[in-house]
Amino acid sequence: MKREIAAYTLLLIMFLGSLYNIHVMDVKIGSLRSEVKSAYGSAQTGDFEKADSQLRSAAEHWLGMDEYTHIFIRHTEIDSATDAFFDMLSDIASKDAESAAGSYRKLDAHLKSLITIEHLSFGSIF
Amino acid sequence: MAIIFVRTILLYFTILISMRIMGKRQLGEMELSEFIVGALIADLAATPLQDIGTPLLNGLVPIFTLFALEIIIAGLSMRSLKVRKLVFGKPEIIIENSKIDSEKMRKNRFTLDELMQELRNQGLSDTTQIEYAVLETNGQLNVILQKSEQPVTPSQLGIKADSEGYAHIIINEGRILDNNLRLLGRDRLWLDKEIKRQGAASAEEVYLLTLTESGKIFCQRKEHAN
Repeated sequence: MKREIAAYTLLLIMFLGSLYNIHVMDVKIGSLRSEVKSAYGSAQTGDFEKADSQLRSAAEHWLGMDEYTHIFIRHTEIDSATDAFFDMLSDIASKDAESAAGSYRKLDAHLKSLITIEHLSFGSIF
Repeated sequence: MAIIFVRTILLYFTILISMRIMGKRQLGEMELSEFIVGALIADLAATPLQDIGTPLLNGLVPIFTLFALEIIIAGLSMRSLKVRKLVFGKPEIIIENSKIDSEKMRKNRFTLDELMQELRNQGLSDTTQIEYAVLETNGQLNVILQKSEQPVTPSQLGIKADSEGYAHIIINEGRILDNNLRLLGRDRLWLDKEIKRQGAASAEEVYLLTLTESGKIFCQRKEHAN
């Protein structure tokens, strides 16, 4: 019976742990998406310097999450998101609003997918 | 390279401990649920080992989940007959009074060739020798011979057979197992005398020495010591 209780506890810990992971990802990635959106907004108004500063700050936050993300997310997904950050940074540095719009959508899609793949849904399970 | 090395060590001990806790039966005759866990764990462990881009947790979480489920199912099936029947099935009598039950053979997808092979494995040539053959839930076929085919036992002959007791290993490839020696109430002095009596100079020359509770000794010296 002790073994079974330990097994139930282990299952519960893993389930709660995965729910906590979903929550952390929602909060952290959600915050990143807001930062990126602000940077995109600045770029759309022509304030590329502000956009650059905002996006660099977001990229630093993203890279700072490395210790956490590498444990829970496939490394290929992390690399894709990092590449998307640098693509958008490059477009903002070259003050190309149209390209920045495209790279923003790409980056946002990558970040959004990091949240959705962790969420329990019919689609994510099957 | 170092990542794969560390991951391999971690996964090895994770699987080793999981299997050990799940029980010894895992190693040999597996029930259906145990087979599923064994097969899946091997595959799950391989993925993060081969691909360092996959987080180790992606391998560990399903292994721990399977391990926990196996413990729970095993516990439930011990307490509930219904669960046991549902998860493991039930033993089927394939042969009764030398007659093969073709319906049960079909139900268990057990062919005549497989049945005859199993019987030959057990030294039986035809079904007339068999009273019952039971297909166990782990797939093993257990055979109960007709009374006329069963070996004669000492009790049937009216002979009193004394048990010699369990044979404990005292010397294993030259190493003296003091715990077993003490368990049987002997000491090193007794062992030294016995080693000399067996024609060996020391324990290092002995390959195997066993002693039963009734005092029966078996000794085999190392080949190069002869």
